[in-house]
Order: sequence, then structure tokens, then C-alpha cells
Amino acid sequence: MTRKQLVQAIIFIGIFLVALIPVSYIVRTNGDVKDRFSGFYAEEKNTLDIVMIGSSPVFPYYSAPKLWGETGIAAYPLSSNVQRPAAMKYLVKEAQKTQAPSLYIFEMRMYTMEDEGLSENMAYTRGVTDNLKYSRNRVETIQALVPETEERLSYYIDLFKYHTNWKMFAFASEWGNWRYEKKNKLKGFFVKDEVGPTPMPTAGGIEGELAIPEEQEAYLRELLQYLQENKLQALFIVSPYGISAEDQQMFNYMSGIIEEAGYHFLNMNNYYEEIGIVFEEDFADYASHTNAVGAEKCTAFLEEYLLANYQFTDKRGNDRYDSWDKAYELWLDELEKASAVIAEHIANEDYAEIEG
Amino acid sequence: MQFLSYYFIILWVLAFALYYLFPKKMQWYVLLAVSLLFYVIGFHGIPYALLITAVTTYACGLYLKKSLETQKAGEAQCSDKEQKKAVKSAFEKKRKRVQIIYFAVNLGLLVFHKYTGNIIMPIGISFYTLTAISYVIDAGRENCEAETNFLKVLLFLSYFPAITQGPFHRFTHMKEQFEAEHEFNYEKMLRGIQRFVWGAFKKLVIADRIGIFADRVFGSDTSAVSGSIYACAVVFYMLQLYADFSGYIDMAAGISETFDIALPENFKRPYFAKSVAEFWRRWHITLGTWFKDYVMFSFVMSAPGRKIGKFCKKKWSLLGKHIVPILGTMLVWFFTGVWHGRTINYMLWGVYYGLIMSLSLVLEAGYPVWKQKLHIKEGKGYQLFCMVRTWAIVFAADVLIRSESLAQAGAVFGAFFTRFHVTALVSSAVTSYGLSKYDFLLLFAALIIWLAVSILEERGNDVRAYLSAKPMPVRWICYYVIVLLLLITGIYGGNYDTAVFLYQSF
Repeated sequence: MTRKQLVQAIIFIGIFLVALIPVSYIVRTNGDVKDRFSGFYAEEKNTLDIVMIGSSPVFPYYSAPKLWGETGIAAYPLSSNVQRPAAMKYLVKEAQKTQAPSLYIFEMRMYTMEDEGLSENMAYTRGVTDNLKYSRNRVETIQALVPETEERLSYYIDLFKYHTNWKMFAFASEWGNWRYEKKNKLKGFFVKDEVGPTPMPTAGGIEGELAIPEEQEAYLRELLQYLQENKLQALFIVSPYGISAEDQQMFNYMSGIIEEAGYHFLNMNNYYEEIGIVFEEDFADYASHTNAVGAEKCTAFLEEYLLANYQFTDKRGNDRYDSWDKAYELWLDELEKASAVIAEHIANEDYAEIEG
Repeated sequence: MQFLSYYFIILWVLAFALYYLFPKKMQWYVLLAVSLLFYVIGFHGIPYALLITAVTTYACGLYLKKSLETQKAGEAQCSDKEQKKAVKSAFEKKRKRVQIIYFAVNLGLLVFHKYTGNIIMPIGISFYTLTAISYVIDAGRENCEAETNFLKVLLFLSYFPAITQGPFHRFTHMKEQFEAEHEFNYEKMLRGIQRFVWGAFKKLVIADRIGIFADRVFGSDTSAVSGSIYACAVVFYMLQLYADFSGYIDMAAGISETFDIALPENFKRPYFAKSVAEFWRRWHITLGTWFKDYVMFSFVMSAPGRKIGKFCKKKWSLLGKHIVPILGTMLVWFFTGVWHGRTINYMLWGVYYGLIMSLSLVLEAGYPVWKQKLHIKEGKGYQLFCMVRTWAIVFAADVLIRSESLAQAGAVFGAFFTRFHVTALVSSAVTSYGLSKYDFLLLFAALIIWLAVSILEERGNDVRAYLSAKPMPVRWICYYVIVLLLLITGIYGGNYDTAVFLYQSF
């Protein structure tokens, strides 16, 4: 083998591996999670004030366009369904590559669950790993979330899993994901217009503590350590939902650890009245996730809390945030439509059907 | 262990590195070690059947060698022809008895595993058993020198690129290559990898995609499927079988090429054939030559075969000369059918081809006369007619073997005549058998690529050399297109078990 042949072979393989990256980005499964993550990567560098990390009690609860439109704070959710707490530290690292937010907000609902249960369904793990750009941090995330070495290959090269989506190449709109950067029109917010009523839970405000699962506590402490070492400001929240007494006590336990580390802990289940949340009307799926009306109330409450406890610069009027202005306009439109649909559901007692 | 698995790729890379790092005289040891490792890792141990075959083949070969040497020594001491004949006859009888025991043991193992249905069939048993038999017969006929080194016999039988589906290789051809000293050659390595990738493309993009459609159609309620959909499924099956098997052979040959070992060619674009006989000289070539050399030839040259031939020529002078070749043909095709599968469908398939080939034998002499009388010129139109005629014959045979039972085969043929419904092919019905319109478009594109390559090869071009001669950007684009198509559109992953090849079950 001559030197020229060796160089040619290396270049050939190199070009091929590089070409595989956009190909695998395009065939990754479509959905709101992909849109949210690729929307995050599309945000201009160092323009975000807040990055919100956590599972599904983030993206239907907190409207980033509303927060922007009313306060000029740019917040973006880097969240996925049933996001495992083990992933949070790595998501912070990922966010730090392109942003320097003055605050990270962590939604804590998943910390009450055993990680073993969360790791049984690979979709929960892949919601994070298969929506990150290829990088060393992604490799480390996979190593942390997938303990069985022999299973990691299809995570490292997710093309092996998603190549069956090759038909996406037939749609020009999908080619926009070739760099995994595609602006999200609503800045990651997800509008729900269903109604699933339940009575208001009574566990909010309950005292007492119950230890969270051991491994989740370890992940929490690891996250806190990472935040402290890197001097990152953080707020830990629990969104309103059909909380049980057991869960409430676990959140009380968590708040002890978090406040000891010097961070704020906001359990919104202690503030139903202040939020103005109505469980019979403001939830899409029986006290699990808010609909658009409930989201507006939760966002308003969080907005107030943020302004009272943290310092942000109002960036409205800054040219770099034109897309945020558009997102706000669009959100207002979507909210109006969703509110009308929600009102109709309530009037007709036409409630959501839950699958499974 | 399948070729298209992570473990095999790692094994191949390690084997390749060791092969060229080892002293050249020891390279065949590396191949042997890798072959045995291939079995151990992939199939959880070396099956006792392979070991029995290897030991009996080695022992029988040595016995035949010794017997021939002793016979020649004895003949040299004889004073006249009659004595020499007697000596020869005595030794031949003994050798025949030993060979019969050998065949009984090894064919018995094959029949036991393949046709009883109760035992797990050792991978490759159909292939290595016939390969071993070819060695013993050739040693007996003095077409090859019996090997004194057991490990070389074991390597010959267990050579990993060819063990699961062939091609059938001959001892002399392989021994020379195993014993030769092989220098690393970058171009040869590239050619081997190219052929492997091409085979994987045929398997994963074409064969396994087509297989989804064919499986769904033949798995559906027979009364609900129109004749045109069945026809499409059978045509697809014909292509699937070809793409799957020739794809495997390309992968096997490509792997072997990287070790500078050439395997015999097994396919020569069979669908360009203009007769069934030519089709079978282009399809699974090594199986055809095996049956010709070891069944047909053995029968024709045997004492009973010659007696029958003499008798028939005397009794029916014109037709009589065809009787023995016809009997040989029917025998070959019966065994070919049985070799492929144990169901009645396969036996009928074998008989079907036997009859067609026998008919061809009888009618062959008359073709030039009829063509002259009918003023048929052998232009492009006639050649196309011959190809289409061949496809039709193969099509009918493949209905038999693709159908899950004789009853289904009958129902399929019935559907062709009673409810063909050609419009079903352009309706939404055609996309209700597992393939979307995008799959069909992709298949069409892949088949066009394959056809283009086949046409180039049929015209005598070495496609890999043809590409190598192109400017680098053109070459690289072609390579990238094939590899990306394979990786992105190939049928593989958690939902599929298509690393298994169709001919592996034979």
C-alpha cells in the first residue's frame, strides 16, 4: 500500500463519516422532541437567558413566547418525554456549548421514580440521546444512560435504528434538519387544547419527608455539584399536577438537599390558589399536563417568581430576537384558538380519551 | 454468525490483519483457525457432523491413495493384460466398498439432519457434505492427490466464506491457493471489499425488501389475492432468490478475495439465458457441475449405465441414444430437488426441470431444421422470445417452491386464469403487502442499477475495473451512492431478521 493510497483511503472514509452525520439527522424520527432540540441548536449563540430542563411537565406548561413577549426574557425548554434525571447534567453541558444562560430551571417530577423503571423503555433514553448532536458529550451521555456496553452501538450510531425513516428524504422540509438546526416557531412550547378534568389534589402543602430513590438522589447531588463547580445559577421547580402525599413528601426531601446547596426550590403544588389553576379545566389529561389555558397561568406565575428573585435584562427591541417576537405573535394566535377549543370541550363535556 | 453482523465484521478485520502479519507459509493456519472460530462463535461450537465428515473424508482419501499406489505396484509386477485387469478389478471392488461406506455415513448424516425434521441442522451441512464427496470421488478417479495433512482437509471443508452457502469448490483448486504465499495487495483488498458491499446491497436493499412483499402475498388468504398480485409476487420471488443467493456469493467471494483466495463463480446473470439448459449453466453453477461430474457422469459411466445405453441403442436406434442421458438427467434433477428441500413441492420442482431438460435433449437436434422451415432468424427479437420463454418456465417452477403447499400452488395457478385483475397492480392493493410506494420506487431504482451492472458484465466488462478506470470523483460518488443506499435503505435492524439467507435453509 503506497502512501498516496493510504491518504486517499483515509480521506474517503473521513468524507463518508462526515456525510453520515446530516443523513442521520434527517432520518431521526420526527416529532415535537426533535423539533424542540433542533430548535435549541438553531438559536443564536449566547442569546438565551434561561434553559429549562426536564420531562414533559416543561414544554406544555411554560410558554417561552409568553415569557418573552411580556418580560423580554428568552427561555428555551431542552426537554423530552419522561426525561431521566441521569441525563440532566449532560443536557446542561450540551447547553453550555452554545449558550450562557443566567439561569437553569430543572423540573423535578421524574426524581420521584425509580430509574430502573425509566430505563426499561428505551424511548425515554433515546428521547435525549437521539436528539443530541454528535459530540463527545453525546457519547458520555450514552455511556451514563446505557449501562450495557453491547447495546450502545445503535445509540452511538442512531442511523442503524432510524434508517427505516429513509422516506423522509422524499420531503424537502426534512432536509432542513441536515445540521440539526431548525428554528422552532413556538420556541419549544407545545400547545394542548384537550380537557381532562380531575378534582384538585389535596396533597399540596403536606409536610414531612420521604427519601427519593437512592440512584435519583445520587444524580441530584451530582447535578448540584456540577452546577456549583461551574458556578451556574439554578432553580428547581415542580409543576402543578395530580400530586400524591407520597410525592409531596419526596419533594420536601429534595428541597432540603437543594436548598442546602444554595439553590431555590419552588413546588408549585403549594400555590394552586396563587396560580389560579383549575384542575377541572386547565389540564389536558387528568392532572398530568396542562392545556394552553393552564400553561398560561403557570407561565404567569413562574414569570412573577423569576422577576422577583432573579435579574434579567429585557431584550425586547433587540434585532437578534426577531424570531422571538414572531413566536410571541404566533403564540397569541394559537392561544386564542386553543382557548376557544378548550371552552367548547368544557361546555360539551367532551373530555380527552387517554390511550392505554 | 452471519456475514452481516457486527461480530463477523470484527472477526474479518482481525483475521485479515493476522493473515498478512503471519509468516506466509503459515497463512493457511490462520484461515483454519478463523474458520473454526467462525463456527464456535457463530454457531456455539463445532458440530460433530462436520468433524465426522472431516475425519472420514481424510481417512477415505488416504485409503484411496494407498490403494491406488498398491494397485499400481501390483500391476507393475503383472506379466500380462489379463492379470493386470484382475488386479485392477480386485482393488476397484475394495475401493468401491469403502467409498460406499463413506457415502452411507456422510449422506446418512445429511439425510438424518435435513429430512427428519427433529434435529437442529448443522449450518452448511448440505454444502460441506457434497464438497467432501467431490474430494473423495476425485481422489478415487485420480483427479486429485489425496491430502496427507488432516488440517488441510478440515480447512477445505470448513473454509468460512463458503461454508454456509457455497459455492462448491474443488480440492485441487483450493489446495493450491491455500498453500500459496500471499502478499498484501491493496487493490485486491479493495476489490474484495467492493464485491462484499455489492453483495450486501443486493441482499439488504433488493432481496429483503422484495421478500416482504412476497411473504405477505403468500401468507395471505389465497382467495383474497388476485392473480396479477400473485404474478408480481412470483416475479419478485424470482428476483429475491437471485439477489439473495448471488448477494451472499458476492459477499463470500469478496471476503475470500481479501485473503487473495479466489472462489469459483456461481452465477453468470442467469436471466439472460435463452434456454432452461443455459439458465442452469448460469445459476448455481457449482451445484450444476457437481451433479454433472458426480451424479450424471458416475451414472452414465457406471456398468449399469453402459448396459442400459447399449441395450437402448440396439432396441430404439433413433431415440435409444437419448435414454441414458435422460435417465441421468432425471436422476440429477430428482436429487437436485431433494437437496433443496424435503417437501413434495421440491421433489415436483426437480421432476419438472428434469422433464423439461429431457425434452430439450430429445428435441435439440430438430431445432435447426424447424427454424429453417419456419424461417426463424436468430435476431434480437428471437433472442428476446427465448429469454421470455425461459423466464416463463422458471416462473412456473418458482410458483411450486414459493407456495407453502401443493394446494396453494394450485390455487395460485388457478388465480392466474380465473381472477388475474391486472388493474390490481396499479391500485392501492399493491401497497397493502408491506411495501409503500416509496419502497417500490426505491426497488425500481435499485433494480435499474443492478440491471445496468449486469448488462455491462454480460458484455464482458469487469465492472470493478471499469469503475477503477474512471476519475476519482466519479468512482467515489458511485461508491458513496451504493454504500449510503445500503446503510439508509437496507432492510436491517431490530424489526428484521434478514441477516439469514434463503439458501442457508437448503
